[in-house]
Amino acid sequence: MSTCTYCQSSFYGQSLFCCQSCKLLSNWLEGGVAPLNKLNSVSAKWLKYNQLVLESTFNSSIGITEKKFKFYIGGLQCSSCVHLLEDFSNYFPDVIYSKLNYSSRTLETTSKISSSLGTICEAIEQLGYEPTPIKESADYEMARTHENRDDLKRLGVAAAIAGNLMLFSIPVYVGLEGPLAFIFNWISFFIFLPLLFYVAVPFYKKSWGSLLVRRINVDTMIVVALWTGFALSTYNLLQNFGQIYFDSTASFIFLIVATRYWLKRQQDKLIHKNIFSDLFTNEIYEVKSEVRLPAHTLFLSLYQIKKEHLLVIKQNQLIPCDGELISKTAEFDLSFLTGEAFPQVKLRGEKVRAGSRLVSALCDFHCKTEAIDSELSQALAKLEIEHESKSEIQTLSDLISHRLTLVVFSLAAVFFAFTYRYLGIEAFQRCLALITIACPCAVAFGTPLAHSLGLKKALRKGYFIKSSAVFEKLSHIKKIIFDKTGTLTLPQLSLVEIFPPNLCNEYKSVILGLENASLHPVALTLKALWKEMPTASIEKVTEVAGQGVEANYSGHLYQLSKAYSDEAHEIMQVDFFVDQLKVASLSFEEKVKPEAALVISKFNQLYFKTMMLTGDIRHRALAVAKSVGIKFENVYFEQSLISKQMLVKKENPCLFVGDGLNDVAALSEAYVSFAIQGAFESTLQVSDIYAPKKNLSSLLEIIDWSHKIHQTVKTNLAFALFYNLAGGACALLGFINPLVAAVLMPISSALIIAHTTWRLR
Amino acid sequence: MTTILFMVSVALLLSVSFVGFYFWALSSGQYDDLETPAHRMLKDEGKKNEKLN
Repeated sequence: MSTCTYCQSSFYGQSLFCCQSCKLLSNWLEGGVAPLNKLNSVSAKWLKYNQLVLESTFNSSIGITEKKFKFYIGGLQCSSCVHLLEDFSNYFPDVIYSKLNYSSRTLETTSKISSSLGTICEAIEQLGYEPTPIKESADYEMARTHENRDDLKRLGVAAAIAGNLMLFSIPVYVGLEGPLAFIFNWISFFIFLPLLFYVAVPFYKKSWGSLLVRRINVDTMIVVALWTGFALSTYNLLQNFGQIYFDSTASFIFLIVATRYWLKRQQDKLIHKNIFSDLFTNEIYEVKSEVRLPAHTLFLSLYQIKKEHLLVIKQNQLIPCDGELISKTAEFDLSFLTGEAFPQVKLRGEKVRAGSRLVSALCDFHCKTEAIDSELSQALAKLEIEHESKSEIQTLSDLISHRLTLVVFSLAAVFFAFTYRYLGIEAFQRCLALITIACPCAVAFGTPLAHSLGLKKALRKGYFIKSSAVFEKLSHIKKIIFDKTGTLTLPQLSLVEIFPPNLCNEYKSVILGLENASLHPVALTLKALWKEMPTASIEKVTEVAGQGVEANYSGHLYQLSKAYSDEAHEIMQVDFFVDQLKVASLSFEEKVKPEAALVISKFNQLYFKTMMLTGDIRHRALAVAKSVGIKFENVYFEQSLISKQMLVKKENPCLFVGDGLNDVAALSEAYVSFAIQGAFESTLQVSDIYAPKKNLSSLLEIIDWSHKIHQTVKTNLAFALFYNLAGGACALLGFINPLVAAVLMPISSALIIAHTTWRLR
Repeated sequence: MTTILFMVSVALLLSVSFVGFYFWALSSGQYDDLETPAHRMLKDEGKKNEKLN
């Protein structure tokens, strides 16, 4: 750990400053140049954002004198970043005002009408950050802000009411009597009213919604406890006899509102809206010409692309909509759609689906649909709906609250009906004591508290968990289904053989030169393996799709071409030719992740049924299964996206472990899904748990953590049940009056809070 | 008795005014971002202004 010379914050590393901002600001204050003394020319990457058509989609200003843009800012580190970006106008005169939101990592700028988006992006980048222009629905943002403020208003009012009621109740508890006690009780009554008619409104709505579908949830019980406490306290107040329970009821409601708000904030951080648009956030497409317009070039964002547009797709760019290839040949990485590790060659006129990534050089593409109508977009939209409906499972807490409510109310009603004749108003008081003490505080806030602490700690460990219900669902799991490619095997290929073994460095350098611009898995593997080797500067490399690459260099013709793929042994061979004479061959294969066998053996020892699901052929699937220890009868190979989904559905409740959006259907169908890589927000949308930068061992850790949380929830519930049972019996037998019950209820709440925070510390 | 009632009235008025201030702070967006202001307050205005002038 080092301490930053400028901002004094601790950071990992050996440099003097924790980030670029601290360095720039420190230099500036020491007499050096301003952080953005002179803007260099705008790079090609940002230049296209200066086109008016594209820029207008990001400009949220309705005025004609200014432009407003919003950016996601990568690389924020400390307070200096806030200072640097909020002083942006001082270094960059085009910007009039800038405001950073550190929590959401977003920067809002208001700039002169003469400014341009690409130039602002360039300026932010030169300050040392990674800007991404974003376009968010204003209505959505406003609704979220409004909802958050509304929740905070109710929380604030509940806190004020609970606090003030305590002030007026304590004198009465310690023996205040006479007219002053009467006045204090009436003041308590009026203070309680906003709780009843404002703070508790969401409970009424949820309770009513549940009753409409003939179910009782925990909100119903809260509403009944609230109104019973209010009714009896008011009755006693009017009679000027008996106890008043406004304070304990208000404290109870405040605790519930506070824990629910906390949980909601934890979950809100991870929830996003549209998978499809998230996936294409940074993609800007070059439109070559339009059918009805004269040929010209312009750049468009995803949703501006129309049917019949002709696009120029660049290397590594995603295809935005379904259409046809115009170029003679092109090679696409379909791993996103099919999970297949090896790229596929498409010929002119062949259909290419949205989500395919171009591996070879430039290609021309003819759009046959709009982005929103593509098969991928439709499938993802459908999955979002399915995923939302899937989360409505009946959890243990729901079950307990539902049954406990029914039991308590039935018991109170039966008791009242049979004893009213003998006990009179005492029967009502005993019933009230029963309902008060049996209010499910463990369910109402013990469970949300455990879940929010669990989410917070999991996030700190690097797990993005979509919903707290996952903790409970994981405890039901006894089957784990693994995807093969990228999950059990490494994403990169492994070079298993070079022939001749002593291939000279000159040839290696030429091979690197040939593969320099390529994103083919073979190229990526060689570049990673021979990173110390100099790369021959070959200017013009011709890519022969599906075959390989060739180039003339130093008077020789060099070729690198795929020889054959030995599917049975997972081998891919690439031959190297000099002047059409084969001089070397390189063999590659998929490698199993080093930790895979150990993780699966541990799951097998713990009596989990481990399975494998893959689109690959039988030989490859069985070879991987053998090396990691999955039984052959649990291996399903040559599966399509649909059959994978059906199989997961059949095996539910199961945990599906995949490597991102290429397993989208199976991830979405699984009872619990775990993704270990993929685009952040889009992967999180379809998976329950997303753990980037984690290996397979993290599965053991998260399952263990889930069990701990689930155990805490169960202990809370067991304690509350015992407490309620004992308290309820005492209440019905007349040992506890409603006042004592009202005091005992918060004590049980305090015990539950203490237990939860201690177990999950 | 009168003193207590006076103090109770003042306490209630204070409570209501605090809730009022809280609502005003909420509606003016002071609770929308709870993280950035903590960083913003550390900004050294003196040094920066001196430098800019």
